[in-house]
Amino acid sequence: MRLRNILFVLFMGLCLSGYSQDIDIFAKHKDDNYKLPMLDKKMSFREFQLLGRDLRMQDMLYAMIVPGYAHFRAKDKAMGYTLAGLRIAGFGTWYYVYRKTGVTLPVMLKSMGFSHIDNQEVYAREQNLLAYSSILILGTYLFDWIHGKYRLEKKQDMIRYKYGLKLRFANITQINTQNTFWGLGLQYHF
Amino acid sequence: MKRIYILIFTIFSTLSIFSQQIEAELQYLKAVKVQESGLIKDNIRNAMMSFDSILVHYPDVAAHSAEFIEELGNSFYQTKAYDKALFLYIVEASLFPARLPYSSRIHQLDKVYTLLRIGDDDIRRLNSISQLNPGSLAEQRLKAPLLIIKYLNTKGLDEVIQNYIGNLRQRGIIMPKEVQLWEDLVHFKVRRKIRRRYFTSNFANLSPELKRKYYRKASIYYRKMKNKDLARTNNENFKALSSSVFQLIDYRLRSFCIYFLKDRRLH
Repeated sequence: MRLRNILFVLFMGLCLSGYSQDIDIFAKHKDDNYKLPMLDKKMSFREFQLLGRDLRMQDMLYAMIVPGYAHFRAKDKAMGYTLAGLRIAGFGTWYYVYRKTGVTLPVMLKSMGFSHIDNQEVYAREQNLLAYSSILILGTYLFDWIHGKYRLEKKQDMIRYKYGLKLRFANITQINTQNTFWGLGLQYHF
Repeated sequence: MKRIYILIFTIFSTLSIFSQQIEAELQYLKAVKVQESGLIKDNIRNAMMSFDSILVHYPDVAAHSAEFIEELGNSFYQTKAYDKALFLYIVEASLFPARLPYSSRIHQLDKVYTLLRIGDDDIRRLNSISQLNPGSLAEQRLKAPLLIIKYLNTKGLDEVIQNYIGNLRQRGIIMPKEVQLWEDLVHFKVRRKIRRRYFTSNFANLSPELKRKYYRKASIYYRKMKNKDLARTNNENFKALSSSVFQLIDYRLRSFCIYFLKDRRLH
């Protein structure tokens, strides 16, 4: 039994180190930030930033707190601000319902509305508002995450496609910066 | 002798790399023009950088330069930036008059003229751009911006023309008075519709109304830039042409502000 527990913990540890993302254990070297990338001389800072970005699990948490976060990461400010506005409107409606009914948010969420109140029909309008605003808040979060990730990946693909194809067209000799000694090589493509 | 060999090798390799880059850009423009417009839009910044280098190197341009400028014009056309497309077509016709007659792009140009509301006189002027005597190299390069500045003044071209003029300056070309006046008008934020009227005659022969507008805008601009002397001089010129009470009040208010202005050159 004890051995099984130890094996289970070891297995979990292996899983975490192998598949975890940066909120967990993640391999990072001290001099990672000193490595200078080989950039195309026409690449803009915006493109450089976009290529270096990725939406990971920690960003999913940030997106819960900052409305439109994924779109801001993908440099899609217009959509980011729209989502931020919509989410703020959702929270505003929640506050309005609270002011109108006096029912606190935890109670509302716990009872999924006003099911604990006897005369529910009095607050029918508020109940609808609560449902719509909750859908709006959840919807903007999911849209932000899914669409933001899609936008970022598409932009990254466009940048890679552009510079990759141009490199091919320019027929520029490839330089391997990882080599530790000088040398000439011959490549044959077929 | 050794130095000459090194010099020849350097010139040859520089031109060869430059030519290779332009060719790569051209091939990419051709590759994406049949794909989604997002790719074309995304590439415009890079293509404009190559366009700038062609202008700087002109007349020692790389092979495919004319074709590249035409394809860049087509990219603008596809992304519905019709004013920029027209400018690129004009540039190509003025720099490479022997290559392709300007008016041969009938379908594109018809749409551009209609959408930009270009009059018949201006269309005639544009259609004859390839036939005009090219003159000196500087004149040839200035033909496109001068045409736009004097006659068309279409929306959305200010930045492109400023960039174009900047490239010519880099080659040591002295700008004519019209270009300098246009640059002033852009900096002073004179409305685009009025700008064209400044090029009907010499500045000295312009109507007092136009001159007054110029001096007023110039005074406001220099006040914002905290250049006290120029702000004051332009304000005084404005006063000399003022006739109504409102204009004098306007002058007084501005001179009051200029009086208390802290000149940035004193800091």
